[in-house]
Amino acid sequence: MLAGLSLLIQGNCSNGKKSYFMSKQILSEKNILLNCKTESKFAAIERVGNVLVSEGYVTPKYLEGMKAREKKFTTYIGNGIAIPHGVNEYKKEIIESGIVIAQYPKGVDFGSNNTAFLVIGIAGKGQEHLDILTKIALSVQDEHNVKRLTTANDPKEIISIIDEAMM
Amino acid sequence: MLSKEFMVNSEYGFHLRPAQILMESITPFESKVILKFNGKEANAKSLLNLMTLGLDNGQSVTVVVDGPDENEVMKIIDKLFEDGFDE
Repeated sequence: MLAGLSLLIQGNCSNGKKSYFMSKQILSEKNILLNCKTESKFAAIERVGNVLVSEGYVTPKYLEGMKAREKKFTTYIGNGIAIPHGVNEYKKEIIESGIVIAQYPKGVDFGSNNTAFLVIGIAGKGQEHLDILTKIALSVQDEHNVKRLTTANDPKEIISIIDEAMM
Repeated sequence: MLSKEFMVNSEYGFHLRPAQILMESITPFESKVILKFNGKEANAKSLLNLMTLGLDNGQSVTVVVDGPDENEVMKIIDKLFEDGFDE
């Protein structure tokens, strides 16, 4: 009921309105989609991929690379997390490094009995995104943090939970 | 048990593709594979675990392989590091 109501108000998946930092960031509030309705894994990949496109991180072609990667080998990494990203051949479609996080409170079926509650789309160029990726991995190693990230209702909260991780 | 030190020779660090290739390559084998870096340890059969290492290009990592097929597994890992994790 409640999910249906917020859907009416916000449409599917609401995202933060402002960037977290002054300049273009790898992960900003605008890159976080909260309360997404359960959908197929390829629809979820398209959803995060489309934000990577609309926020200017990648060209629309990058989505093909993300789907190709998923077909080759699942990007589900454990603990309710999937990290869709493009195969190498699509690296040239990346304009800037960016990370988009979609929260699915009811999860997305990633096959082999794996359910992802956070689908994290990654466009990585150079080294600059690696620190954030390490922080995300450190954070979600702890199932308690996965729960917090899955139930967070403010993009700021997601960013601060990830930021807590000690490298 | 076998232990060997490797240098990461992969333009984009170790996080995504190389870690995934390593995980995919050794998962079918029985041996336990542990990567040690900077006081941290990761089970190489878990991509999430590997990603927590924060291992970058040019850094060295100790790989420990332990199990009945450890020789074969170390050979595969040797080749992966040598080839820079080409897909």
